[in-house]
Amino acid sequence: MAKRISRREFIKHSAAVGAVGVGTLTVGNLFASKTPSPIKTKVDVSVVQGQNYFDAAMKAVEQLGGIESFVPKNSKVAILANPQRNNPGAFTSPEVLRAAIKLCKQAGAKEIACISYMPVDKCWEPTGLKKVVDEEGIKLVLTDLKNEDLFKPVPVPKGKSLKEARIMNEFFSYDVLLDVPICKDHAGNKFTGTLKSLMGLNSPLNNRSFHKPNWTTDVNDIHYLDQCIADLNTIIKPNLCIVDATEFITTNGPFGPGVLLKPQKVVAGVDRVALDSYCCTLWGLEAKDIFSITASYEHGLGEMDLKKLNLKELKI
Amino acid sequence: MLGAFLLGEMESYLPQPGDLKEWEPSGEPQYVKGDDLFLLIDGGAEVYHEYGFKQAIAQGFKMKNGRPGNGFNLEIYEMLDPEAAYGIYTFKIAGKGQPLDVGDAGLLEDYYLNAWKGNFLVTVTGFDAGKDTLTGIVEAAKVVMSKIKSTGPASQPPLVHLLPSEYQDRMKLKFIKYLKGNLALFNQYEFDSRNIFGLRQGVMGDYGIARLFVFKYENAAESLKWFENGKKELRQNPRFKYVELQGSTVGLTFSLVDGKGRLSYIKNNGPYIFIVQGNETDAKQINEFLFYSISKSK
Repeated sequence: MAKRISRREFIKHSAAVGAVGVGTLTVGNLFASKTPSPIKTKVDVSVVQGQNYFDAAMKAVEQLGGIESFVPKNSKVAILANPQRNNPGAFTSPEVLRAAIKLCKQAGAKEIACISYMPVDKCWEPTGLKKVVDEEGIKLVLTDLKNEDLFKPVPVPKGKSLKEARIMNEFFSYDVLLDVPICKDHAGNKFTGTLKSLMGLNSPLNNRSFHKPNWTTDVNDIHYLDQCIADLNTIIKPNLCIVDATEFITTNGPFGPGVLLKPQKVVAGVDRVALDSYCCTLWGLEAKDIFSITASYEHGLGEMDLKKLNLKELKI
Repeated sequence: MLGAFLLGEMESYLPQPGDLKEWEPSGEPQYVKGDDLFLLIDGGAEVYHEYGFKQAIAQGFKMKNGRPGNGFNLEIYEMLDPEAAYGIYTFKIAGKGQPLDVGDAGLLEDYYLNAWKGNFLVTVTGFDAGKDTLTGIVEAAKVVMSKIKSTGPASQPPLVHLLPSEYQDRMKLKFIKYLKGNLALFNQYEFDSRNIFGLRQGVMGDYGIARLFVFKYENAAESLKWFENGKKELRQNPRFKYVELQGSTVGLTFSLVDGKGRLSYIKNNGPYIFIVQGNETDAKQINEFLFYSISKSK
């Protein structure tokens, strides 16, 4: 069994960075973390802009109070990055991933792994993300996306559209989840960020059902996809999100190619609704028009009004 | 086996070693058909199915001399018919690049190109926008197009010809989007996430300060039915300020203004619904353009 810091020590440290409480593990509320993480931080959305994406990511987490608030010493950390395809602006920047890994090492994580069902040869290698994994000496734990037995059915009690998810078995082997997505356009629903990225833990077959109710050919309600995304987020809560908003496509997402925007920002926080609400503004969208954000807000998963958020921006 | 035949046919369109001066295939091609398009392009598959998708093949390419970092991805999509291929081509282009003499039409934009021919769309994505890569992607597209048999002279769907090429010298048609459903429309403008206009065939023309949408129906009765449905839904949509317009077209025209000051005039006329959209400050011009477009359609 991994040695953990005491609950008292963790709560004390979390309080020091402004956390108002710790999460509790309840039925249907999965945390990768068997050790709770802050549910609120003093800084809601930490934004760092700079040409060095590694440094920007490191600083973005520093502004939140430091990685130690989110990754306990000796914990097993799963990182969910997006290796979609090596089309420019469609995948998590290797340097942002590298920063996430370095931060986990800095926190004294016992084990760090990228978990995924995206194939190595088509996704992880061409994007350069596999190279980072190898250079940093961590694991890449892959699930065969065609084998449904490798995904565990999980009920979604608060689901309005999604009643059951199928989460990859590997997810349950870890204590902490770091979500490291890229924010970008999505032709299905206009935007993808921290909320939608959790589909990367859910089986592809189950994910397909998000796009078409009962997998019919009658696509009349784009809301369905977004409601499923919001529902999925009620059962999984990353300990920390580090969003690659450095260079991304604003058309023809999620795969591209499309028009590239380069704000050169890394955005970090724990409130996925807040993070996505901020990120969508980078190319002129508004959170109130993104149904996955409003549906998640309605689930009580976070705050979408940027005026109510403590946003800290830094340029390096 | 039919599956193997289809794969072989698609593979035959790929540039082979020796077809390109400086580039060679990298890794194995990936072939998908039907619903499996999701495996290739994930959530981006939906809009292809809306247009009408049959099968696709994707192949990576690298420089022959092994220079790292350079490369491109090539995808060939076979759609169900030329209208579908044209539609997905217009969906994917941003409309601001360099026209190419590739296939029936092609456009080079920054680091990638799209081109269509008959039932086929070809997309080639460079990993950078350097001169060598751009030369390579154009060459690759031309090779693919030379292997695809022509199905006849290129022709845009007839509905496209309803878009005026210009209006009073002030507004010129810059680019076109051909629409075959609400998902494609939603990506141009979010009237509603549901298909409140029952859209199955439409076109959008961008004229700079205004955009013109034309939706086509089987007949006037069907057009009116969907016009009334759209009107009913938009009237109660809190995202818009709705205005019923007076005059000889009472009941057949209404306008909306969204939260960003974008004005839409929506009018039913025969088997069509016309929508002209622009800034509220250009209301008079937009209204005139609407009636001009309708008069040209007769």
